Amino acid sequence: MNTMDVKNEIKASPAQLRYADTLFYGSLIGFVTMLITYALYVFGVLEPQIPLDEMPRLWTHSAAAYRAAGNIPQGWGWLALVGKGDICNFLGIAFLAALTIFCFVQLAWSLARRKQWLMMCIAIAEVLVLSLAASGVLVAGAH
Amino acid sequence: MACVFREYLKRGARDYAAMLVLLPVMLFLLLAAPMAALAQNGDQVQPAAQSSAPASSSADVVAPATAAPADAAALQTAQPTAQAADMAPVDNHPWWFWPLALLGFCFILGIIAVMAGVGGGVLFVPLVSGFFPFHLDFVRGAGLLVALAGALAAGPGLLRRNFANLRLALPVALIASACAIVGAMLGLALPTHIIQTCLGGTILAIAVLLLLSKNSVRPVVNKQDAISVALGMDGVFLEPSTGEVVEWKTHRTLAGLLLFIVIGIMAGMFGLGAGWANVPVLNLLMGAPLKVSVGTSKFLLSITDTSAAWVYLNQGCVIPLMAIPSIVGLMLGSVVGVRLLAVAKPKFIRYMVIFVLLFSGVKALMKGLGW
Repeated sequence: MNTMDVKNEIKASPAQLRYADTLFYGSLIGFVTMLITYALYVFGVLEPQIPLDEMPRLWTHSAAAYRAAGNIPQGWGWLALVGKGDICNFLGIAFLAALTIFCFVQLAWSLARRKQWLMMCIAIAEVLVLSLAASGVLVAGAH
Repeated sequence: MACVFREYLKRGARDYAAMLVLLPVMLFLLLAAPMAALAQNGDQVQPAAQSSAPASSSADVVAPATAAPADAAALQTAQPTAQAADMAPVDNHPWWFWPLALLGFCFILGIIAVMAGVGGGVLFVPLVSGFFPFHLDFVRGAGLLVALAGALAAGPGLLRRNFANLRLALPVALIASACAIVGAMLGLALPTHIIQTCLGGTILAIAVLLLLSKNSVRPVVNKQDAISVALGMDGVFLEPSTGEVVEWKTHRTLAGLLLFIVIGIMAGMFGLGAGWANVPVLNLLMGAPLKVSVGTSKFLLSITDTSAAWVYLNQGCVIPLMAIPSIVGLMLGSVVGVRLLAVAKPKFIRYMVIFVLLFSGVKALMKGLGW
């Protein structure tokens, strides 16, 4: 590697920098949303799906029992209840969880423009894997 | 503890604020076991079946909070819960007690995690499942979100400084994240006591790994293998402490990629951030420099944990009331921990964390085996 190449390599690539920027601003939006919705929930501004007093009796049981007792839908069903205090917290959490998918879509595009086909294919495969996980199609058996 | 205070004296106790924070951390580590016992006694735990009104207790537990269960499936799920409720402890604390306790606990955990050089998830899951009343499903869900939030917060800085390398991370992340989904589904399908037992064994193994593993700052890689060349797993970074330009490349890539299958499954199954495993594989096996391994590992968590977190999220294993204080506490603790790094003796903290991991591993193992 000659001196010029080394100097270029020390700096993060433009695609990596763009990824970092998206991650930074996305995380900021996600964390702020999460804190605001949490405040609306615990200070009683929005009525929750499960009353706060019930929670200590429900969180000792499995997720399946919690869902059944609180009428909490599986997968993306929570969107229908987003006006409830506890459910609206999922806006920030889901945004943070989805952030990597946005970053990878952007990365795949950057890699395609630089004709880095192998890396682009890996990035697209990652988007598919994460989208599959996020879709709610994969349901584990309840125990 | 004496070492830490000697260090303070040597430095002229210039940072009293840091000392004020460090002291409770030390006390917490030393008093972890008595604290757990006190917390359990404070619960006034008693099996509902032995209480004066067992029927009403168990009915309360499974009674729909708002309306009757919407469908037959929900009813079917609620029935076995009623049996489980008979055996479940009754928690008489107000709703805000445990989230507040979790916030403080995770704040201290964040300080310790940074100083010991481990991620928050690996401490969070065994300790919170051992000392708090939450079901393991919710602890694992929150553990993944805690690790994810830490990785998202650290990721941009690591990528900008080129300590996290996308070319190294991408292939590894694809394997780990796909396997984390499998791990999460396995973890949610298996009975809790089996997961608890496996978790105990894993935590004990991690403690031994931390005790025995020696990192290599710059491993010697004589020849880059074919897979590494094809994937472009090499790079250059500037060592800020010396101003030196460090070129690196990897080898034994196939073995490394295969190990990430196991790492992904374990991360998803137990809700542990997998930094404890990522770093040795990237550094000792594949030959990436320590800084690149640590940076890439932290960034990797944002991808691996995302896929597993989605599975937990979709299955209703995330309770915001407990997950959000955990995230906030751990992140605030990490900020303080970074500041304390300058005055504390990380080696001492590291040994204490290994001790706490051994303790919580044994506790999880005993809980899983029903001892």
